[in-house]
Amino acid sequence: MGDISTKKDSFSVEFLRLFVVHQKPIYAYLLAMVHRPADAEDLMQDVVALMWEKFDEFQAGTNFGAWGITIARNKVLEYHRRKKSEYEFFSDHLVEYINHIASEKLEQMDDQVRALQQCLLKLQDHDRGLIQVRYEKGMTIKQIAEQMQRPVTGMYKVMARIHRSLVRCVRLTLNAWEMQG
Amino acid sequence: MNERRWPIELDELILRKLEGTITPAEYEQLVQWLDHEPEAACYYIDFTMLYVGLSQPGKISFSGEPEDVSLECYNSLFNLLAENEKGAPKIEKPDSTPIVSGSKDVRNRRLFGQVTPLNLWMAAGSIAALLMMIAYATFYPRVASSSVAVLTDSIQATWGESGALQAGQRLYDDGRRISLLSGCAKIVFDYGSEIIVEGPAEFAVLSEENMYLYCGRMLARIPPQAVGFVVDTPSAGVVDLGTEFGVQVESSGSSSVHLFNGKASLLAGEQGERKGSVLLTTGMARYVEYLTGQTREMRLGENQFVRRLDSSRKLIWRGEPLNLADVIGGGDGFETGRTNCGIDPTTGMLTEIRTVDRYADNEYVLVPHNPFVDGVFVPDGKIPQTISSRGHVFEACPPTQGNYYIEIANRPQFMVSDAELAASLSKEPSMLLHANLGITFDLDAVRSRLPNVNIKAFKAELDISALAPRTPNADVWILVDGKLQYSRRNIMNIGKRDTICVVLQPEDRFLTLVATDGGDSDNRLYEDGSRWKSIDSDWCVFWNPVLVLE
Repeated sequence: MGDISTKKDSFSVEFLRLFVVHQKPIYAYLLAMVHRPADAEDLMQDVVALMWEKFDEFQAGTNFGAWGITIARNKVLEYHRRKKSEYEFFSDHLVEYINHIASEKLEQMDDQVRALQQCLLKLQDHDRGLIQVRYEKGMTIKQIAEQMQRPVTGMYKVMARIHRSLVRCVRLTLNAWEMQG
Repeated sequence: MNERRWPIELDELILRKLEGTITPAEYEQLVQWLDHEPEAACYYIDFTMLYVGLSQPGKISFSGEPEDVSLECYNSLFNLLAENEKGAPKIEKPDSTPIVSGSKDVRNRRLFGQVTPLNLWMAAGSIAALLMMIAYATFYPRVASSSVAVLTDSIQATWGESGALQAGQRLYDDGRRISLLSGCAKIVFDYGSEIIVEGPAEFAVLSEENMYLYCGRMLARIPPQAVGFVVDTPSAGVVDLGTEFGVQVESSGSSSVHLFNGKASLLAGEQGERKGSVLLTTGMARYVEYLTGQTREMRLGENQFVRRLDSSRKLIWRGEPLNLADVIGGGDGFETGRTNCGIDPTTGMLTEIRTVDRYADNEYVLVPHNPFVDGVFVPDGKIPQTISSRGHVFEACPPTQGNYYIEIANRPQFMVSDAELAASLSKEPSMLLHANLGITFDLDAVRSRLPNVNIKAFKAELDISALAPRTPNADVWILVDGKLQYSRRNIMNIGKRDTICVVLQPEDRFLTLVATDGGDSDNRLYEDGSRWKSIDSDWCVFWNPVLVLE
């Protein structure tokens, strides 16, 4: 009995360890593929539950993140079928294409976050401050606009611009790292 | 890395989608975009990963060298913008060479942007240099320039070597020197600041809240939400505190700042070497000497700057009053109408003028072809005189003979014996409102043509034309929405101008001017024994009849 319990605990710990490492790419995939952020959160719960349920089928040493994304992909297909009447979704061709590029890109997510960390420091103070209040303080863009007495549309433009700078900086950084080997 | 540059709208759509604030129409637009552009789909994934990366609490450190920045700090930062500007780092001086050339960047932020094909080739000759470039890209990757404003309109704009800009084109904060050789262009920044640049001018866009004027003229209108907008020049900085101001930079680098509304802080001296600040309020203007940074008072350049621009209406407004005589000639009030013509009070049509005694009933005739003129009429006082399309009535209208002699005319020229006098009189803007005539202007039409402009007053000088052959006897009436605001009865003097100023309120709609025959009979007996019509010599003239705009 004690043996079984210990095995179960170590099983859980291993799952959690792997999940914590790979949750971001899985969530990013879901967020990219569904209509609303709330739907991504709901699906994430379903995906985690299913991954836990099937964890004994997961072969240790293989790619946990890729396995999770396969499960997430099936959940997304199910979601698309269910919500088809409510929302317009990506075409099958686009879904296929995104699935193709996402699996490769999502594996780089840790590197991307490292690059992002560097790029954040290269932003101008004003821009970094805005990103900080959005993500660290958790304020919405609308709230930031109201607080700063700026128009919401203008604030979206500004935030879009800063995100664009960061995406570009991250891409360049990853590219440079790749060149360096 | 050869990366495609997407319009900023794509980033905005992605961000709204990830934030959950995207509308169905925007979502559809995003789907269309991604469906048709595989590279955009790739970009979308990168953007989403970045968004998720940022959203991981505790995983990302937002504060590098700078202190943790709270919103309170931000607000006080904005409030103290003027002070902060004083200590801002110096930016590159404009070169002293003529204005046409260049693309000299204001700021040196784009590290890779300076790699030209030539120096790239030279660097490639050295492995060390190549490695250095790789290291450079690694540790100082370029933060791409961003679009922060849009060119919304222009009139007769010709652009220099910086390249032609079209309406709708986004402008980037890359500090690129943009040359407008002639004409005018309107630029709206993302926080809402509206700039009108008048060629020849050179300028650069630095951020959503900052631009640099190398030379030429520009006007800035800053809405409340964009307070803090900064215009830098070679000799000064202007920090807006909620205002409308004009800036002119001479080729020497000296600047003048003219404050039309609100407040602004003028920081003399170039950035990084500020020599003090002056708070400017409405109506103030200052000149800043480039070499010394000295400031001195100057007269406000009231009509010096283009303050409204609308190509769809061919409108360029410099703050000058709107001339109602020009309106009668079919113009927009800014010297675009015909002179020596008038509106027929019985048809409402623009026509050549004729000097013939005629009779008419007191019908109010609409003038649909002229948006600023509501209607015209020949008052007779026998029945209530309608004076607007909304049914306003001139209750105090005196009885007249119901006759008139000439159309309601813009700057008429008469073939009279004293040709020199006639010619000199026709040079000054004037509206001839010979008795018995009336005209009603639609002030709302003016407001709609010049949004955000207030009509402060109607001003003119009233007189009987020196061309009148005999002694006149006329009455002049001015009404606003049917209410009498001014009257002058039995005018018999010639050459004695009376200054008129009727203050107008934002809710006032119709301005009516009326001239009547002074109660004379149609068999008026003169001292020399001759008999003339009631309206004889009643040549009422409104000299410089204008709506004062603000």
